Amino acid sequence: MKKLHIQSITIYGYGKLENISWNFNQSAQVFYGENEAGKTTIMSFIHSMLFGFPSKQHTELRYEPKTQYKYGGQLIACFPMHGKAVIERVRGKASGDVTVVLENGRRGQEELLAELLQGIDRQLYQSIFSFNLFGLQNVQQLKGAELGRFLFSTGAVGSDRLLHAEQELQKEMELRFRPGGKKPQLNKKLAQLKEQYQLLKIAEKKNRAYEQLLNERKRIENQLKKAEIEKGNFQKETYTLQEWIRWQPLVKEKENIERQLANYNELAFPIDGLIRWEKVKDKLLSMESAIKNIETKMAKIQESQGQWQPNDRLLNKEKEISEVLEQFPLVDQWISRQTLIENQINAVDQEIMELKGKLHATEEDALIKSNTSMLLKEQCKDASIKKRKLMEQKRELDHQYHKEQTALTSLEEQTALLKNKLLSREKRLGLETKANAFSLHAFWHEQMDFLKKEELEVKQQGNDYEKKQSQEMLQGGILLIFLMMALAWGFWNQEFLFAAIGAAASIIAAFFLFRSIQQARREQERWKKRLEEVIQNRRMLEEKLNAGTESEIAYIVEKLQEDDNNKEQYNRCKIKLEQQNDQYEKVLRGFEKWEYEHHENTKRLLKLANELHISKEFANSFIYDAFLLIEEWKKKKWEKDKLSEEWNALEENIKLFRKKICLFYKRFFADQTENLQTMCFHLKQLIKEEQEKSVRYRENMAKLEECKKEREGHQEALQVYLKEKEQLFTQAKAENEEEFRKNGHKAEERDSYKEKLSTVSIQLERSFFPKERIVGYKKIENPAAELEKIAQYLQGLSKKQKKWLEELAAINFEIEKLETGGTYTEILHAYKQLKIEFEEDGKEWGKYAAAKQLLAHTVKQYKNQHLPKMLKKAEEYFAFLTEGNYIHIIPKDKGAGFLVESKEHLFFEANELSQGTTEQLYAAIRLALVQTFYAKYKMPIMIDDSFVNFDRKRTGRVMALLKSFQQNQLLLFTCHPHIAAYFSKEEVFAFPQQSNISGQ
Amino acid sequence: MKEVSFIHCADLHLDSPIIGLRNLPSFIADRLKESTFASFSAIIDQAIACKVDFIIIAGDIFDGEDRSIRAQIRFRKEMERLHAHHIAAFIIHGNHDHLKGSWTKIEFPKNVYIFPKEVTAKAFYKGEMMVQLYGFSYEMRHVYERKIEDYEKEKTGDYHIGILHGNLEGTSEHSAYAPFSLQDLAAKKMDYWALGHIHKRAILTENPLAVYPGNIQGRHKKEIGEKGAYLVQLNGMETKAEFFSTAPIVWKSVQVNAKGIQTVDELMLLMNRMIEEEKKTRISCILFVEIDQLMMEETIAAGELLEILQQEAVEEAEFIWVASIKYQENKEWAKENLVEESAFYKELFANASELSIVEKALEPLYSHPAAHRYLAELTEKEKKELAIEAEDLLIKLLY
Repeated sequence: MKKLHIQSITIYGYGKLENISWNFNQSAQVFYGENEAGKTTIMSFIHSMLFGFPSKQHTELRYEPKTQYKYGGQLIACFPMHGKAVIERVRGKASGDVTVVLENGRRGQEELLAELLQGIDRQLYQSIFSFNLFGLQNVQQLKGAELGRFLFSTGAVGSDRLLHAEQELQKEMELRFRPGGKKPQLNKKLAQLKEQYQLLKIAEKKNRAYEQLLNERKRIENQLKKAEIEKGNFQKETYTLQEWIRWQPLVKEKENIERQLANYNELAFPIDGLIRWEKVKDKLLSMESAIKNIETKMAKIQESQGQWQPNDRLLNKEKEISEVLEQFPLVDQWISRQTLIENQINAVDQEIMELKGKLHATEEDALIKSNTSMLLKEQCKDASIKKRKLMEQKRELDHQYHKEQTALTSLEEQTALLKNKLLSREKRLGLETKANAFSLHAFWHEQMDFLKKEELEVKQQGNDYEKKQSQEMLQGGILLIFLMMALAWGFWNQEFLFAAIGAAASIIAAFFLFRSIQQARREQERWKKRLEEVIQNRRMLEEKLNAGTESEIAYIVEKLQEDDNNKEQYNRCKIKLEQQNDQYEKVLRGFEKWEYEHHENTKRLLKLANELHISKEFANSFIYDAFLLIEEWKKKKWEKDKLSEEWNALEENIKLFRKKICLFYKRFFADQTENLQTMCFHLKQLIKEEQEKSVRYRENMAKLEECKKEREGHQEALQVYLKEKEQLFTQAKAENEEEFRKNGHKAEERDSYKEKLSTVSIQLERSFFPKERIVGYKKIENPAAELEKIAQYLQGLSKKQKKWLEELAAINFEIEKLETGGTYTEILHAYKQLKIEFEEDGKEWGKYAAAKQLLAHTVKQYKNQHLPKMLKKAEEYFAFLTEGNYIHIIPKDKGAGFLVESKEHLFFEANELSQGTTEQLYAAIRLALVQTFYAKYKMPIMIDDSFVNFDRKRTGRVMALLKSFQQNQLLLFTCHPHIAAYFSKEEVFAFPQQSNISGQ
Repeated sequence: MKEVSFIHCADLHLDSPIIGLRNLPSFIADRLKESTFASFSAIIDQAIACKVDFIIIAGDIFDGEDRSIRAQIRFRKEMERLHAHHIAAFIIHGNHDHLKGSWTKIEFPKNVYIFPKEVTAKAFYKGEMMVQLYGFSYEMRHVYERKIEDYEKEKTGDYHIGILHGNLEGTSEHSAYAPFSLQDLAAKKMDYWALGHIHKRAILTENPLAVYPGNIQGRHKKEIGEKGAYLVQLNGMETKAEFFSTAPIVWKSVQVNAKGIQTVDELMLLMNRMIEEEKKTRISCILFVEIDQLMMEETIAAGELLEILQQEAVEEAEFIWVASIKYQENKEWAKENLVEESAFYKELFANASELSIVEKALEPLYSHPAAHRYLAELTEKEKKELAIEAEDLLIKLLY
């Protein structure tokens, strides 16, 4: 283990020491010098180097040099952790300016130094490692507790901080809680809490009462319910009683009636017996009389029935006879029809006669044979039409013939007349020529005018041309002259080129001039010739115009026109004539054709006449008419035959009818008559009568039957009523009507009782009074009193109910209060809040308490663990120093100082020891501290002349002890040579060194 | 498809005092007092709105001895509301409201079924569908048996739902009542496990779905975050459990980084900003604030800062209440220095872990004849915390 070893110190200026240095090579160094040599100064210097110059307030001296030497110095030390360090401290701030340089080159100030010193400050260092005589002499003042504090104050923490902390904690704790206090927070809260708890308990009790309240409520509610039911019952009872009072008379009456009724128990009488008997009696009487009536009626009918017996023989034949009689109206018709037919036959005969006359035919047979077929009828018709047509044609042809013939003759005459009127051929030609010439006159006049105009024009143009010609000639001449002059000027001036050009131009000009003159001349000749021609033409025309006059010409034209007309008429007549001739011949050819056809037709007519058996003449002209007449005749003949036939048939019918009628008549009538009509009438009458009789008879029979049935019905009913009568009488136990009626009256009496009973019963029924209780109630002697009793009871009950209700309300209120639970919850919550606050505050207090406890505990522990260790060491050293005279050091529990046990086991207080021994005790404790509590610091031990009171032996022992401390450098300051003598020469620095101590 | 839907909640702790908050203005205190009821009421509202078939309450309806009549009456009122809507309620009692309690018994409407002390199967019918529910109520406060073993699945039934108020083995934080393991839950082949007891909501397993719905309203600073219940739907194909929040007041711890803050004003601004931020959630909040990295030249004691903030609290529909402010200080450094300084400190700090010292220190109060009855005995954990706090205090004092 390395220790802090101060290797050298160099003082620049400190107290009286200046510029001086020592090297501490040995582990122990002694500064030996006389008084005032400066030993304490050196000691202070080392302190100052390590912990700073003492401040001005400090009790220690600052040792500032009185001279001008600078304050401070240098200290080189080897530190256990950091190695060698140079520490230089000079004047600066109060503690001086320090510079620390480590071997590794690290530099620093106070902080680095503090780090090197592991936090040991001057106070601690001086308390443990450095001591002087004064310190040793104080040992008897130490008290047990103070020793502890001393330990701390000389230890790491410094008692002030601990003390302060402890006091602070104590204060905080007491602010919060004092076990017996009232004011601190927690004490106050505790009081509140207690109070709140009480409240809570009360509230809880109330809560617990809740169940009781609920039960109570149930109980009261039940009571109330019961009371309500009871009340209801009594009210009902009251009502019943009241009813009873009302109905009691009726009940009595009812009983009375019932008693009366008992008398009629024997009586038997049918219900409504009397009425029923009356009815039955009525019915019996009416039935009997009805039967009598019917019997009379029947006798009457039977009596009358004899005269209505019908004739059965007739009625059997009735159908036959009626059938015949039905035909009677037909007979009349038949007779009138016959008359009509006779008339018709006569008319037809007449017509036949007429037809015979028309035909001139007598032989009917022949006529009947004649053919009247449809074919022949057609042939006759054709032939007749043909005949008529032919006659027509002939008339037409005759007429045409006459007309054509007259026309032809007239035309021939006309033609001859026109031929005579025509001009001869030659004469006509002459006239035509004359007329033609005159027609050209107008044209010629026109031509004359034109020619005259042309003549004038030609003359004019000829003059114009001449004028123009002469003008051109003049211009040409001038140009020529000018050119000639130019030529001459050329020649004259001998400008030959110019002259030549002028000459050429003159020649050209002369040529053109010549040509134009020639042309003009030719043109003039042409104009003259044309003029001559025109004049000649004009003359010819004038000649022509002068031949023939106008009047002549008009005559000629008229003549020619007349002739033309005639010629035309003639030609037309000629054509007409030819046409007429053709017409004429056509008529002639028509005649021939007619002749042939006529012949053919006549032949056919003859043939037809034969067929019809008529004369030829007749046939020739009226063949078709004849045919028609024959046909008519034949028809009439057939008609006549038919009518005759019908007549005969009618006659037959009439005869048959008559025969039948006569037969029937004879059978039923005695008298004879031939009159058909009478017979029929009688027969009819008879039948009708018999029929009526028969009907009446049958009706009466039916009536009789009906009456019989009716009588039977009545008799049956009679029986029923008789039976009923018997029944009624039996039921009433009556022998006769009188008895019956008596019983009846009794029954009526009974019924009236019954009715009364039912009225009473109904009334009783209507009352709500229960029947089954009547018996019980009848026993009540005085209902009114009973009523009063009940009313009183009810009143009492109502009062009770009211009371209970009030109770119930109170309970409900209480329950409601508990259920809404405001109070309880509030108290509970408040209590809980208070409690938690109390707990929290308690914890807060606990925090301080724990801290304080922790501190106190640690301090105690520190004392208890480390102090004994230290004391043991101290004992060891003390025993060593005193040569075993003292064996134990015991700190006093209370009070100051220690007890020391001698080897004789005697105990001494510190102040009872000798001065030297006391000091030895102190030294032992100090050194024990160094070796125990502060073993880890290994700081140098500095002792300033402390062992003066030690004897030689003990001095030697203390020296030996000190030398044994290998963990700490030892620096000893002494003025005693015998102490220095314990060390080698190298270890001792003798003071003052002459060289170094100057001015002292 | 056979479907069943229900609401699963637990640990209502109705009318449980909300404690540990000081200087509360009365409006907040009142709201807190009402909060457990309000939350439960909201759950019932949800049940009615969703037309569930029934609701399950897996124990701890009341807070134990503090079960007030008011709480019971109000609970019954909620049950009556369910009854009016034909919704059944299946209830077990837990350690807090066990059957042997001495409280007033209140009758419930017919829709309420309370499981007896033995594990019992109860059938619920919906048309042709049959749901089997299993559960038991705590007979006494302490039930340490492995009740899980008594759960036996019935042969009939379309769905099987286990209701259990107990503690998952291996978690030591809570009282180990009616312990069970995840293997147990799986082995019982239930379709759903409706658990209770643990106040922090958790889904233990997905198959089978086993859910701790947590309690319905935070009551102190350890019960932080949203609180409510689960809406569960079973349809043969899948089991769906959806959490919905009903707690009207949420407890929250917030860390604020105060790096760079120089002045008290800036710190106040930071705090107010934080509060504004919290207001945006639109839920009433009780905040525990920790301020990190605060290195200010000016200083303000945490208590003073808190006081200012608390004074600023205003009555609103959604309030923000700062319940505490803590500065996070670095004590380690100071501690190390002290240890280095002296062996005494080393010993001092070594002693800080000696709980006997703490215990001894506490004695004057905790054993005080009058006071000790109002003080719960401190747990080891609390003592340790106290020791740490004491140590911190000493460091502060000595350094």
